[in-house]
Amino acid sequence: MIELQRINKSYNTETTNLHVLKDLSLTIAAGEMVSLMGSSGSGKSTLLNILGILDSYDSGEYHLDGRLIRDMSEHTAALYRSKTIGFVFQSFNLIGFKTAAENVALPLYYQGVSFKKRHKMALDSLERFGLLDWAEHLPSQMSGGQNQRVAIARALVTKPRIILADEPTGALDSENSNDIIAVLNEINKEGITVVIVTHEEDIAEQTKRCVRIQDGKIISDSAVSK
Amino acid sequence: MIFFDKEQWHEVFVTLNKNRFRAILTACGIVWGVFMLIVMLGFGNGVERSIVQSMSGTVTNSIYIWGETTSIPYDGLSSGKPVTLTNDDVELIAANVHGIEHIAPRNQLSGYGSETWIRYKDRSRSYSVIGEFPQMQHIQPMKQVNGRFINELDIEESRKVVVIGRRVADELFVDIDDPTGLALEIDGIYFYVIGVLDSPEGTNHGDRQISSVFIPFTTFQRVFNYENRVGWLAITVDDTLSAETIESNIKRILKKRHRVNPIDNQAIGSFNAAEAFGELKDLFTGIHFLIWFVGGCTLLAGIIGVGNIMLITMKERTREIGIRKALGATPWSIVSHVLQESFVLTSIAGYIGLLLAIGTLELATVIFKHSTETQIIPQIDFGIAMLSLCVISLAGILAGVLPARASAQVNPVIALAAN
Repeated sequence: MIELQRINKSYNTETTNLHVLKDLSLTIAAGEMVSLMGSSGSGKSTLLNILGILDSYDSGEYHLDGRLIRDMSEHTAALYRSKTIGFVFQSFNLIGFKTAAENVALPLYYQGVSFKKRHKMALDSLERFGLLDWAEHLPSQMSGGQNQRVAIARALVTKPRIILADEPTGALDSENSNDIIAVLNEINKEGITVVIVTHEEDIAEQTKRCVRIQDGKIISDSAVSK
Repeated sequence: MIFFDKEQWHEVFVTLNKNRFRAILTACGIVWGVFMLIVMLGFGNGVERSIVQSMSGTVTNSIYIWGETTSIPYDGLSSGKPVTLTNDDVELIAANVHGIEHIAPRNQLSGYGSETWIRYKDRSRSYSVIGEFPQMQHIQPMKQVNGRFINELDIEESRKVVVIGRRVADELFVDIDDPTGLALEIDGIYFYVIGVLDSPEGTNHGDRQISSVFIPFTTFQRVFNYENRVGWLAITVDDTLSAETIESNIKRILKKRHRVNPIDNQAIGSFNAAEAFGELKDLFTGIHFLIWFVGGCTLLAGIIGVGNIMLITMKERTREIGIRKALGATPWSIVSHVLQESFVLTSIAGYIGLLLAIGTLELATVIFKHSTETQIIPQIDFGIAMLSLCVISLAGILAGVLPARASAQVNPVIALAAN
């Protein structure tokens, strides 16, 4: 599903040359549930952005679903993201002036789904996470846990093959965190590949495979023992 | 093409509606700009129309010439000598000046602008009494209501007949539909009414015309002892020579004949409608330019305001745009979304401004109609209104270009990292 070979990425400014990812290679098969562990500055978020085609890389090869992702136009990248990837963010990243249902329907809008159909699909997706009663609420009227579940509903509404979650529990208390991880596990059982970036051990323990990154390199890659 | 996509329009309207306060603030500049432009154009048109209307009693290729008094001693004569035009002058001019279409000498009893008591049975009032040639019909527009105007036979036989203005007919011949064939008394002499005429325009000029009575020029000179004196000359010119040239040619001939110094500009008075009209036209051109310039600049300021506020809100909306991009928005869908927002904002604002302006002009029309002194009726040409609306809509898209570019350059990684 995901195949990274000797990926290098550096951020160059006038004064510094920050080599973030160093010859990083990683393979994730379809249906896996992987956590990327690392302290801040380890390069894990950059890695996730590259996986999500939000960011480019300097050298190496990235194959997504068998296709080489390199030097893509923004337009093509947008289409790939739209078709295969669902994002879940630490700060939820819901659009503040849109209701839960409208937020969930937004990725479908960019796929060209008609208003009626996408509204219905959004409601279906919300229902699955027990949020049907909150469909017409704005993000500011809901709790953090609810917001994150709306965000997951949004990520899933397009039926993506991969869910990329960047610190999905970072802004939540432990009860809500466990709830969100449970939801992600459930999604994974349906065959969707889930990649979670986190720096919390107990979150990583709830995944099946843990990849530890430090200074732009993988320092360990092991199955999580239950 | 996504620009014509119904879904995108829906998305644009939803976004604007959800951010109503921001949208209204942004639109204010445009509303004001359009309002100012249209109101100014409307009033400009109103003033122009009222002036043109007050001129329309006069045919615009006409020249009026009359005698005054000399200001420079000449040829053994002292200054201050009155110049009196005569029938011979008319013949001389008709024979020697090229480019004249019609020439009609006129007299008014007791002089220009004065009135004389006129009586029918036991009613009497004062009106202007004018000695007239048939040619006057071609020099001053008039509308025959009853009977006929003065003809050549009336002139030849110096008939005691009179054509009366509509107001004279209304005021003296109360309850009489058609006063032709009846006699009225002017200065102790009886005249038969042969026609009633009206002015095609409700202007000052027309007002004077309908409060006047017209008798054959020859009759006038005979019965009121004017001998061969002429009050003033009304002339229309054809387009072979300029009105100014013809005017100065006539004056040269008259000066020579009346022994007036050629450089004496006070001895012979004149009014050249063509010249006056030309000056007015220049004035209107100037006013139009000013209105379009000031109005256009106001509008431009509004458009720049829209662009500016959109640009600022784009900075605020970086996160929103980043999210949209992460969710699969293509760069063009973001750009066209911003352009459409700006287009919708400016055209709706433009439309509101237009409606407000038309409302104001209508209100002004109602107010002005009730006051009799002014005839300014502000008006806006439908075509111009539509044209300005199109220009505004186009400008709306242009105003969105910079913000759209800014939004297209949003890097989702950075936008989403901003916490």
